Amino acid sequence: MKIGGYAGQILIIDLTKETVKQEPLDLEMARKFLGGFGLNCKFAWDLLDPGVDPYSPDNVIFMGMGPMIGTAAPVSSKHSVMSKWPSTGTISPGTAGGDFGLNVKLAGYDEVIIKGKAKKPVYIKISGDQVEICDASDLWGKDNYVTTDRLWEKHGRNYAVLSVGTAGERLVNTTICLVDKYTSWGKAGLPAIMGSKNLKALIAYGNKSIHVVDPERLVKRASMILERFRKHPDYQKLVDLGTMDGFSGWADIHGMSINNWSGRFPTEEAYRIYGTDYYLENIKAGRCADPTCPIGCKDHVKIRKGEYAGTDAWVSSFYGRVVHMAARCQVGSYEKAVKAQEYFQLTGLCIHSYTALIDWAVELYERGILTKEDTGGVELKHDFETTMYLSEQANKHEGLGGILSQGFKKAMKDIGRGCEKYAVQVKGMEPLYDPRINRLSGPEFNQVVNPRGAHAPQGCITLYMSKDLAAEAYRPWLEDRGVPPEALSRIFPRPGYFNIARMTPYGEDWVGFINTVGMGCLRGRVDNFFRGEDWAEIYSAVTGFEVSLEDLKKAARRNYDLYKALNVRLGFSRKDDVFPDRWFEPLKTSDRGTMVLCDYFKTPLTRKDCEKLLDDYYDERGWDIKTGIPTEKTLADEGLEDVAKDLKKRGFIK
Amino acid sequence: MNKALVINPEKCTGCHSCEMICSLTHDNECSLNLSRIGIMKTGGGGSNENIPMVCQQCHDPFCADACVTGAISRNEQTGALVVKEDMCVGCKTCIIACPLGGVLYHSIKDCSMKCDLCNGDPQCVKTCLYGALEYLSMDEWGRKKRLKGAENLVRLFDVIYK
Repeated sequence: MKIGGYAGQILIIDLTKETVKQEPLDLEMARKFLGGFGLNCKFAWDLLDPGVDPYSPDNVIFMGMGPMIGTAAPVSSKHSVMSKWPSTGTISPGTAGGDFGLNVKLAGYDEVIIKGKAKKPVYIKISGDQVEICDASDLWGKDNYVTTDRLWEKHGRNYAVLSVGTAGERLVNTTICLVDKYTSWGKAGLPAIMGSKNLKALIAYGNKSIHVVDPERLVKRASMILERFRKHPDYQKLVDLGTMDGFSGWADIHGMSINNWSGRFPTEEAYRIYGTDYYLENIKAGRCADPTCPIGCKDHVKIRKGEYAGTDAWVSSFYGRVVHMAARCQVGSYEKAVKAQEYFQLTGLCIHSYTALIDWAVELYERGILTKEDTGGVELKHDFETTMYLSEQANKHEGLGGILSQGFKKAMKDIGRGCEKYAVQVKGMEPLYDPRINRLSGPEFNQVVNPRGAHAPQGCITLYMSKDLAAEAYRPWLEDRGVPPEALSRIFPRPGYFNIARMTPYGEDWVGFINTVGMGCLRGRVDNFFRGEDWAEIYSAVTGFEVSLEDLKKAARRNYDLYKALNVRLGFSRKDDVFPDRWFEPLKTSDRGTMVLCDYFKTPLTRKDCEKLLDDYYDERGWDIKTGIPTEKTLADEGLEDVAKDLKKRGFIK
Repeated sequence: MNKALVINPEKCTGCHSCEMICSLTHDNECSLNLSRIGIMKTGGGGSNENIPMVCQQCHDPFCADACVTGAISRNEQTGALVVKEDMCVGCKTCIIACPLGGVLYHSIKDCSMKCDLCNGDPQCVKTCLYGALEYLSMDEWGRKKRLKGAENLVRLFDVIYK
């Protein structure tokens, strides 16, 4: 039988030896380590030296495409990258939508592995069986937009372009790659890793096809899913607003802390400056979508009037980026928020990461820890000018901006002077959500335990649900995603209450799973249109391997534990899952009074309570409570005996 | 009068759903190359920059005129111009003749391929939730285009008389 879903090949590129190798995909392995994320974890475990310096030629970039990418399954777009990241030192995944994964898959590859270091700047061209390492001397020093345009001009607009901006070339860590200018990939420094390898870009065109074993079954299920989108009363609103659909949630409910986690962005001001009417009338130019996604979340934005009229930018998760410019940098106007975003997109600076460092630096300056001597004579403020000044320095990797641009881990060391006390970070990465405003639900809690660092998308289940729903409202979602009854009784130990630490692992597994098979998540919103069984049905129809939801869930958990083990081997353990100090300080807001860290049910939480939640989380995952490390039994139950043996040999499991 | 496969490029987000479903339902494979409809991305891929290209089922078709074996004929029920694969010799003259890129070459079957309107039930239209593809009678299409033109004028009046 012809296999379905999988392209059947791995592409291995060694930039030092200038070699390109195509190898058959081990299907058994691909089924055990499900999807792009699963294969990345497995290859990283087998091939990546844990002690490797992220900038070393021996560091490896793993790109996994997932079995649903390149098929007609709805929302099958997410491809996953894994490497050892320079800003955090973790081995962790990053996901992207856009056309890159689609084209690599249709070119015939489930996985791309890149190692070594080129002698001079190069880019990799993938066109079916033809894979070339090409000279990129004329692209070096060019920003993301120019690089992408030139590659399109040279090779055709049908190629998907994954590019490194100017900051990545200079090994700036708080950077992100762009795909076709608009989708971002590899927060925590994929561009810097590629920069260290003299790799400016990858371009891909898929001229082959992906077989589907049971097309009728796939079309039937896909139609059911699309019907749910079509019939949803908010469907058109989701398309029109894209991620800005989340605006009122931000302005009214979730809110965003300001002044380095010392205040809350006022609701009235959010509506006055950043409202959706203004966005639709003056900012939005067009909507772009990832492959087979019926509610495109990528924005083409264009400033219509004023000083920055004509500024064009293509951005993913536009809402999140507006929020960062609005709250962390306090740039003061929509136009300035877009103008700054354009600069970040051109240079490849990561808006999520670097704006948090700017926010922190301003507080350090206000406290006198940083002085004009450090800043080059400039006064640091929460405003547009400071944002651009520090960003321009970051892009050049010089001055204070250059120090900040290496991420919290290195910047805390380089600045010293007790600055770490004011750094709100977990494992060197900035959190996104403030649990004093949002209360401690899935995403907030996941920021602490995510092996990647304080990265929020995993554990998403409670994010887009109202904070006022009763505890029981979450039960149907968990049941539908196959959470077993005994786990449900631990999650809901008494009426009117759930234990977020015991609920979060199932959200993490689920998001890990949907990203790994290739489904775009747009966090909770897209997932809300799916049922758990959809994925077993789609996977079975596409690949011809009959699986149940239970099988997929097991695979998802195996992936997550291997991901954790990869980082255990680097020395990460419970000591690194630390709730930031500032979360335990009261948050004084101008319009909501004083807010304190509390659980979903508004019960205030102390550090001791949070430590207890960590106990529960590790216990639910089958990890050792004292160390936060998967136990030998848990790993063995998942068929990861070799992983357990390795961790034991290295002394991480007693 | 037959219905037409109408494209509204301003609504296209470039999501490739139509291409995936088209190749799947015709060939059991998902592929950009085997799809009878193709999203041509231009510029950055933003508004009005993704153009779905597909056969317009000409009333007086260049492709059928050019075909020396008579392999392209009209399905009278749907109005679609259909390639009879066993009659096609692969000379590609129809591809040269079509000014819109409506005919392509099927690299696996070694013959010309083009949109056949899925026997009057185009799958691409069903999968495009953005409304970039519609299957409309000429009357409906005309009315919709007129209405859009009227809305443009209303906006223009707004600007002029404000």
